[in-house]
Amino acid sequence: MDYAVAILDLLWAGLSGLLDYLSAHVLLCLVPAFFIAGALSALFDKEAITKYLGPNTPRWISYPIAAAAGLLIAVCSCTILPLFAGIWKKGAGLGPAVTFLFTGPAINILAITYTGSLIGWDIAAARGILAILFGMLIGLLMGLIFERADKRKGKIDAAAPSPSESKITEPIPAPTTAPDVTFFGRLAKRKVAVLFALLIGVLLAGTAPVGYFFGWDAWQSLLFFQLPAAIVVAGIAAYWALKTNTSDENKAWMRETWFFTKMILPLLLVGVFAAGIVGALIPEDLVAEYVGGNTLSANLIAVMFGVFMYFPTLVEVPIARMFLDLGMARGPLLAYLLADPELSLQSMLVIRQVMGSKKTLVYVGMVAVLCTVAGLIFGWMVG
Amino acid sequence: MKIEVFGVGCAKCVSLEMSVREAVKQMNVQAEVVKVTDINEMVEKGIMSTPALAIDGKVVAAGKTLTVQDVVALINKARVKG
Repeated sequence: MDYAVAILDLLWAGLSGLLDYLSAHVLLCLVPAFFIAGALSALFDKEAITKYLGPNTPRWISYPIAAAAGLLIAVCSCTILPLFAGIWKKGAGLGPAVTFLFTGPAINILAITYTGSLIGWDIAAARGILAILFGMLIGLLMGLIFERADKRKGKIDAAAPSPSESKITEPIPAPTTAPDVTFFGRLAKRKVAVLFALLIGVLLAGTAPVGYFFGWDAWQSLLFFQLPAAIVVAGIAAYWALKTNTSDENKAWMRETWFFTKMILPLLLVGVFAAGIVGALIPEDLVAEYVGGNTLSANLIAVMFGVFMYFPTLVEVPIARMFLDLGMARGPLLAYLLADPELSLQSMLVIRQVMGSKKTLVYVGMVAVLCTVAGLIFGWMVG
Repeated sequence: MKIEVFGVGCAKCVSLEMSVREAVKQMNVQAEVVKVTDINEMVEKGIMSTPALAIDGKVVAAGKTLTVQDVVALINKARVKG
């Protein structure tokens, strides 16, 4: 009998997790994000990114572009890993390729908006900015360590940058969180850029906490601003798409959108349900004891958890939310969110296939160290 | 005719492989469908985004999920040229 009650309690915890999750403000963020991911996948020429990452591109261009490229790539290892291999072997080299590999999963539009709406925009912003900064740092270090070594052995081909270009004294330009206009303009026709801006508009209108400034309740803000505003902008976006795109383009867009929804949503629902149950099982003092404060060990534990646990794309976000509710400090939480999508066993195996065991080990080590440091810095800033 | 499907094993690549097998069945063509998962081989072929499709060694689509009709059209095109 006691067991039955305990099991019912657990199911209830899972269900209430699901209900929280399906609340309007999450849907207002997720639905536009799926459409944006679909548009990116169907209407943007992803390979055009590599035009900016050729063998002769100067480093002050290739690294920021590699870091920003993730914004234009929808969540899927299908695009990240081949582009990574391509950039390394046929393009700008190991450094920018690693930058792209690190930054891609962390700054894609679904991951950022989802983190923002479920956990908080401070963590979402920190996740994006730190991913870009550290992605460039890791890329530069990898390039420095291995391209020099390869050169000594005479392994490098003629397409590699000449020694004079590999000076590290050059200042790293300030990272751009958004690609500049010409970069954008060459990647997609203007009509697609406008459509993309409109879709971002839907996302912003749907998630903007306008009511906060007027002292409204969350539901008032939702009913009187977010919902109507999102619908109006979505209407304009739909009109624009119908007017400027061919019906084939729109069909492809809808197909990709549906594909993302079909692929990701069930995973998310199961993930949220499971997170609700597991959250009810883990004692709060355990979380408080190990990751409740912003210490070195707390951040390290968070990163290790991210490395060894594998969650499907985006499920790391509800998991992180669960730990936050249980009392995890925000520093370790960020460290976990940075490490988890970067270092899963599956992606490490493919990376190893491309760049060999030695480089993979160094990469994994650097990611683990830097994610820990990122958590410490962020925890110190918000604490 | 040799049809290669390139993909590292994500959902989209599985979906493309299914479309290709269905298209081959529908058209009743003699074709060998091969799944390529080695990422180095993709780089050699210049494929930068998956899932990708090659017919008789020539890359005809990359970075898209294709419907069965799309694949049928691509196979027809390749047959006319070949």
